[in-house]
Amino acid sequence: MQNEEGKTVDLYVPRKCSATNRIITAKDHASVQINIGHLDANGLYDGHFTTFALSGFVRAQGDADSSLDRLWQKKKAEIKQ
Amino acid sequence: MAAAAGGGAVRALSQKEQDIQMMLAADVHLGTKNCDFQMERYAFKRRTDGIYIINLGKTWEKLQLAARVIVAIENPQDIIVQSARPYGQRAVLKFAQYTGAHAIAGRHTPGTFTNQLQTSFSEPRLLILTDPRTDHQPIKESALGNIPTIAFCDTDSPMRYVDIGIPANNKGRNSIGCLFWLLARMVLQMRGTILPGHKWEVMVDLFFYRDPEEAKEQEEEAAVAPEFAAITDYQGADQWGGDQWTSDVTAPPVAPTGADWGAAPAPVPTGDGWDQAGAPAPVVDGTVPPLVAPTGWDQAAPPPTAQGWE
Repeated sequence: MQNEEGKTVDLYVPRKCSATNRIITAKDHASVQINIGHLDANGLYDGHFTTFALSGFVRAQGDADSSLDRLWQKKKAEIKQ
Repeated sequence: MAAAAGGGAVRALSQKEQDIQMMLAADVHLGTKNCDFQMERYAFKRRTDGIYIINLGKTWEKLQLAARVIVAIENPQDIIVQSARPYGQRAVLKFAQYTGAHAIAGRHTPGTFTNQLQTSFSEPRLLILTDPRTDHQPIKESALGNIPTIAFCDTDSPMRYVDIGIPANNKGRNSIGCLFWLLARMVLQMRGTILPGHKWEVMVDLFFYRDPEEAKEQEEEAAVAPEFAAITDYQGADQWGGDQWTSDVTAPPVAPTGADWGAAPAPVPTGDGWDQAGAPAPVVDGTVPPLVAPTGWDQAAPPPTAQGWE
């Protein structure tokens, strides 16, 4: 949360679901955070990864797989993996 | 850049084609008669007998994505590979052996991810399953512990709480072994254990399930019983000759013939059957035999009176 001067006044800023922009609360035990590794030209893992967070609501609907596919396809095109 | 991209494309395409051919040989592309609505985007076509065909190109891409997620975890021991169905047990153990993950082959003890009092309690960072329907208990527990899930999904598998679903036939033994072998090889290639352009020496047959009867039969074939020497034919006739046993004892006396028994004939009883010698003396007429008084009964003492009984 930001005050009128634009400064962040909260100590804890929760994550957001990458697929639906829902807030991942502290009590959301079904939410996950997935790191997808990046490969170099030889197909070796180079230590960097892309992080996607999914809320428990998306996973309970069964849409986690399609959401992750969509997010990764877009990200893959961006970073040229 | 173009030449390098072309070279990479040729190598990747060639390897991808080989992998897809292997998947076709292992019947990975055969789904079931039912299709979950969230798995429809992986179904390529439906056969006339109602069986859905899975698009193997998408299977290969999802395998690559799963390998990226697996390789991004620093400690391989934080990954749990799970298979409750018997067909995937050997594949799971081999996958864990080559990638360093932790394998649970068999029944999932409820509470493994949630009940920290248990000895087998662990909090993995990633969970790899063979079938979302058979392994539904670890999926439920992963939903309570923020654990991402990778699963091999058939066309009718429920996709709830599955983050990366690899569309595949998870009901054939060759299919499950082939998928785990491909996933293990992709992980090892991304880690650098297998150099690019080199083949993995481990055969895919190691990941296939073997029947206990098949293993026993192979053991029996290997351990054939050794042949014993033929039994020598003993010369019975020579050892038991007739002349060996001479009779030492003299001949027993001959039994008496019937003529000897006839020498003393039995006395023939008289016609009336009465023996005169044993008969008592006849009573002479007129003479009465003397009466003998009975002794002991008259002289018996009277019984003594019991004084203390009244």
